[in-house]
Amino acid sequence: MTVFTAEQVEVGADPREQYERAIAERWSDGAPLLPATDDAIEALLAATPYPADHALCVLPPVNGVATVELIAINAAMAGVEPAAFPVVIAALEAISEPEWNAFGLTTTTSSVCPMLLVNGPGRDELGIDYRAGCMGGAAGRGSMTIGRAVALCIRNIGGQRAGETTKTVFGQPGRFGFCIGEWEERSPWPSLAERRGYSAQQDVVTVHGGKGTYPLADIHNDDARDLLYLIAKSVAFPLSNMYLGNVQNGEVVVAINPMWAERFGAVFPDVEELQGFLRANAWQPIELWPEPNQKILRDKGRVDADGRVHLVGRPDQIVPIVCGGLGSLHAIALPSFGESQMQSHPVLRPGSA
Amino acid sequence: MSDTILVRRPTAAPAGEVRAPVFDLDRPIAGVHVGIRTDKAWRSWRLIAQVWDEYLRRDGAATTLVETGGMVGQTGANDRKHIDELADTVECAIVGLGTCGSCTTFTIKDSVVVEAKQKPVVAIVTEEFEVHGHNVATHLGHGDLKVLVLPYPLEARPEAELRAIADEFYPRVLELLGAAS
Amino acid sequence: MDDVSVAAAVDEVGRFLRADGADLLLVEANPKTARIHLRLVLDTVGCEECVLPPAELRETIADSLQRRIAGEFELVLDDPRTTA
Repeated sequence: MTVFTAEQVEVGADPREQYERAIAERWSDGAPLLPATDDAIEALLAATPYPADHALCVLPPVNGVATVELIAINAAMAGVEPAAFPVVIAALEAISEPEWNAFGLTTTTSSVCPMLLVNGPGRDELGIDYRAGCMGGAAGRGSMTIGRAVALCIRNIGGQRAGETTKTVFGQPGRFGFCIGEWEERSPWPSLAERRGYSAQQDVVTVHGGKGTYPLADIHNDDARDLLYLIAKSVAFPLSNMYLGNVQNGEVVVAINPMWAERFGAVFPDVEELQGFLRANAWQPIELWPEPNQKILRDKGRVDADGRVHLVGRPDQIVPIVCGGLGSLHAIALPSFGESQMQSHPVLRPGSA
Repeated sequence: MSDTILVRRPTAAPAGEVRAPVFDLDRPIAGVHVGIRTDKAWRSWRLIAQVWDEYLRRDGAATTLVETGGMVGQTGANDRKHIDELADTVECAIVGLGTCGSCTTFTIKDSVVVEAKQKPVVAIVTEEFEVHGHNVATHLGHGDLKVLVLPYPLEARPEAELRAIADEFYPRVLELLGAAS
Repeated sequence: MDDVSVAAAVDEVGRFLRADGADLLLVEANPKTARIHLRLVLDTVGCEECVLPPAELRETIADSLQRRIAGEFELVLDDPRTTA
């Protein structure tokens, strides 16, 4: 039996009363929540090897201490199933890695949110969406609740409040929660987690400091190189955050639909060559920018000898993943905040080594 | 059947009210070694800092300038190391510029490094980010950190205006450092 | 997309082909890749011209299966007339 440290609060049994109370207490992200009763929290705590009083991390902006108990409370509110709770924990461990730069990303004017990318055999059981509608509409329980639980932790433990502790100008729909998987079985390349050093048998969460979904479409050209060239030029859009900071920092995720992935894989069976091709073409001519911006880019050393402004310094900063439905025609870029490096963490369950 | 249930509060306890001490030079600026931190992102601040650097040296201070440009990666690691070294070397510091969310956060963070070494420091932010700067300082336990607020927006102003702002606010930065007349 | 429902759907769709002496075999239904691999058998067909042209046949089979199988899938159809 857990000895809880969080305050116990009496609320109305009626769900509508709970909704109103959560808003009044400022626990809420604006949408209805489930009640964080002790039995619901206990069920989640039983699914993680960490004890309830373990201080997993400190979450900015207000540097609230995220104990496993507090995380479980927020996860219970989001409706996370016990089997999915370790994914929430792993995501927060990744977010709290210094190189993810939670301090910057939770306070920036930018439209940033943690974008969770899940690999591993647990995707289906957990309800992680990676097929049609994976970025909205598929409504997998895991995707919706895990993403939301992480967002609630940043809100309630980290104290991120728009207009108060964060200067975000627009916010981001993904701040409600963003959690998708990779369709590994349809990828011609090793999965994202495998490329980052994990085994295909492990469930792994990679958290990207992203700026939402940037849609790309082509209905005219089936040639793999042509499509990849266009993708590269598209992600190198002139107002990308990645021109504001250091060219060596940040990644752009490119989500490729399975039909295009098959085509791209036939031409680039080696994913590093694919990334090299994308990197080599992800640039814009300096003349694209107005004169004042040109000067700044030159001062920052972002213009090469050929007058090209490259989006990224290295091929591995363009990160392909395969997901989405079978309708072809589309890719989605997840542009980066820039001053953040994506972080991965394995999902640990009771009995994990 | 009860018409109420018991739930657990999901929020973390607010950070304690610890407020680290602040420091003043309590002597004229002449002979003082002043550190100035600029940021690659903000040409406006680089110009203002350049003007202040000239004035400080004119007034007999020695100066060391450090330019930051990253938050993560090797650049970020190098920057934090340089700030740490600067804080060890100088007697006081002027740290800018907070004129966006994350850069304000890092301006305050780097200012706190200096203050934690018990040296006078002034964080420079623009008006739009004043509250945010104070909030970040509070959450880091340095709620009394001295903050100088410059006009907003700043970045796109012409050089003549920026020089005028530098002139106008130079006495105030000396005052906040506690540089006696 | 499970083996039983896919096999039943393929069998049902194959009935109109069997009327012309052709057949439709299920090679593999893989729920992990969402691929349904079928093979058109024309060995015993009496009148090959009576069988729908390849593109039209493929579309007809895909539509018929889609009505019987929930969720998206990719149809891979081995048609000897196009692979010859």
